[in-house]
Amino acid sequence: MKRLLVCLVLLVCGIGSACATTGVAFVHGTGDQTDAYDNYWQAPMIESVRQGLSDPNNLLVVNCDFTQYMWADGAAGCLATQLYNFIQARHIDDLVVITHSNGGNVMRWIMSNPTYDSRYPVIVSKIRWVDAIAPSSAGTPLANAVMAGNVFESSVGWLLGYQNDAVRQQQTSWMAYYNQNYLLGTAGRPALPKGFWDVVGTDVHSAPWSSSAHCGGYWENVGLEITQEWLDSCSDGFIDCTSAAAAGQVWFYDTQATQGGEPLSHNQSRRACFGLDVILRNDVE
Amino acid sequence: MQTRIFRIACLLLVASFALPALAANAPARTVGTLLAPAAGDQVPAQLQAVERVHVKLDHGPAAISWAVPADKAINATPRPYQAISRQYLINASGAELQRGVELTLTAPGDIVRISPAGPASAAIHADAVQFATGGVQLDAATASSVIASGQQMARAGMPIQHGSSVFKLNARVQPGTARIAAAGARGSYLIQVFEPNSPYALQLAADRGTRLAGQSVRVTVGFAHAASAAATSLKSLRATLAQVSGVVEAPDGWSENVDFSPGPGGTWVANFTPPAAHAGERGLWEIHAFARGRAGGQTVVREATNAFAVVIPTARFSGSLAELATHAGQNLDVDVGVNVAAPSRYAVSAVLYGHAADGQVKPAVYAQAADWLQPGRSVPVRLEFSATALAKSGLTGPYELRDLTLDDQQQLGVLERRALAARGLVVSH
Repeated sequence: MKRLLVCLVLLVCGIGSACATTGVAFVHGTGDQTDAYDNYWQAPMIESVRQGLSDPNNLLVVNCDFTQYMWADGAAGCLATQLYNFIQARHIDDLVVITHSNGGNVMRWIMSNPTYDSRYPVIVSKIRWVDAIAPSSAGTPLANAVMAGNVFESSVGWLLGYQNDAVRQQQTSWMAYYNQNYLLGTAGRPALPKGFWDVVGTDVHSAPWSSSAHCGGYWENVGLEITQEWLDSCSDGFIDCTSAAAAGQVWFYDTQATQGGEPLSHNQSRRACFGLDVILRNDVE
Repeated sequence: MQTRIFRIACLLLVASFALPALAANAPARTVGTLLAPAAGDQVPAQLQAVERVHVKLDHGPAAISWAVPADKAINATPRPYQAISRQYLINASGAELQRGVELTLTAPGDIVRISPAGPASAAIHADAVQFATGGVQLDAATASSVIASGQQMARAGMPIQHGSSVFKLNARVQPGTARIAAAGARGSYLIQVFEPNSPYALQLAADRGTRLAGQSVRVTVGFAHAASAAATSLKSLRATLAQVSGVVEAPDGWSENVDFSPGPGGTWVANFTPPAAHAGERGLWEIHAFARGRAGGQTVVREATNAFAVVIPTARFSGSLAELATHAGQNLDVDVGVNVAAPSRYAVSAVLYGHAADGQVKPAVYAQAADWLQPGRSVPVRLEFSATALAKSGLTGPYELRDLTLDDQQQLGVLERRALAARGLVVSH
């Protein structure tokens, strides 16, 4: 389906000369990033995808404060500023946005509320589609678990879980509310203005003797054996498959497309693991 | 062949941009009213001129629309979220934890987390923790199949604070009453018990996802009795609630106890009115229910959390609706009247439905428009349904306006929502 859309775009573009100026933007997940290139995605991922661009300078690595609520100025506002400036500076009219985890929610906020800010419609109009890797579209039970107990102590300013609005917002009850009222693209809601294609991680290989467990950094095995208890049998170690597939359309489940049919853990799906970078590069071309 | 397809695509592309420009004459207006609200619609009764949130927002108008798939049904009436929990929480002092704190366990394989609650509380090391079960004392290593520190949990994607210890209990700790003790405990602690294999899940739901300030909220709690595979032998047991307490918490941090009382079908119910003084902030309110019940002579303890919005009704639809008579190939513009009590940026959105060849009414185009509005008489906000998107849908008039929503972009609150707002919108030919 996604390839068919590429063909249609190319078909229309083929009429004129040099139809589109393609750009790619990487949007990180929860966290306050100042160097997402090194600290979140790392060079092998970014530089591999860059090879898919005819002009390698048309690539943006977003750095924003995604510890805030998705609608906050430091989150969606910051993301809009960086995307808008990139679009204007590089004359981008064919933008592929690659998001990871909660970055998908922030991007979906912009696409769902395009009248909130006069820059949003411009950004939306330039987007070809969003490749949403492991988006926490329906939240995660781990956010529920982390926030548990805070009700006792928040009045004195000591939080038992992460003192982080982005984690609070990714509780399943909060995402259910926003999906029904402010975010588009989930079941029963109007579609998003542009494609939102999910990459879904289905499992975690965490055994120390497994070479696949080490790509993207070794996933904490001991903690994982416990966190998995909160998650479905199909999850990437942080987000249930049902959440990752809740908004937009599923592009692929990891094992359908990765080298050797390897699953992509939540850490691995932001790194050049098992050919994911090549899949994304081919998608940009 | 390929060249021909290119040319056809080119012509279609040019036509889609050129057609709107052909509208030289100002369109006539057809003035009407919204359909009467139906059950399930959210309609403010009285407006409040309250400005609680002040964020810098655009003051200019914005409008956009796009095609939506005709084969994907849209539900214009949000369903309240049902939170389901198999966990509970205990607050314990350091002295209590040194003596031992009673845990009620309903299934094997529970997860028990101890976290220091406050900077003066000592870290809990796993080797200082003891479990008492069935008259036997077990050290944590013997009682657990996995033990993780707070740092290890954080590295696995669950960022609890340092100084925590988490235990996945093994079969040596049987369902029933157990005690957990920690030597060296000092200060105060949160003990979280998660029972993934328990058949007893607590459900918690509010009657609506969004409430207007001044309206009461009805919250219902009950056991769901969803049995897990690991607890098949307990399937036939039913848990009944014996005691429920609760806390409601506003986005600004205000919180208050909530009283629950027995309701229908074994549920417990709370009715309360969130104070308007704490409404209108961005973010959601949370309701926390702490429940204790019995099942087959055994105690079941649960805590559940859910979220809902409380919105100050700063504006509402005036009821006026003006369709700008258009011709085929032009946008279908609809002015929706809004009465405003407090200045803010207000957004109106709706889905235009049309008729398929078989007569069925299906979604065609989604439109959203926003503007900064001042208090006063009914102000129109214009929804512009794209002619290109409408043509792409293949659906024909008369059209219907559904899922009409008004929200305040300052407080990020849905003020009004109508599942079916208008019928009989037409495009002239």
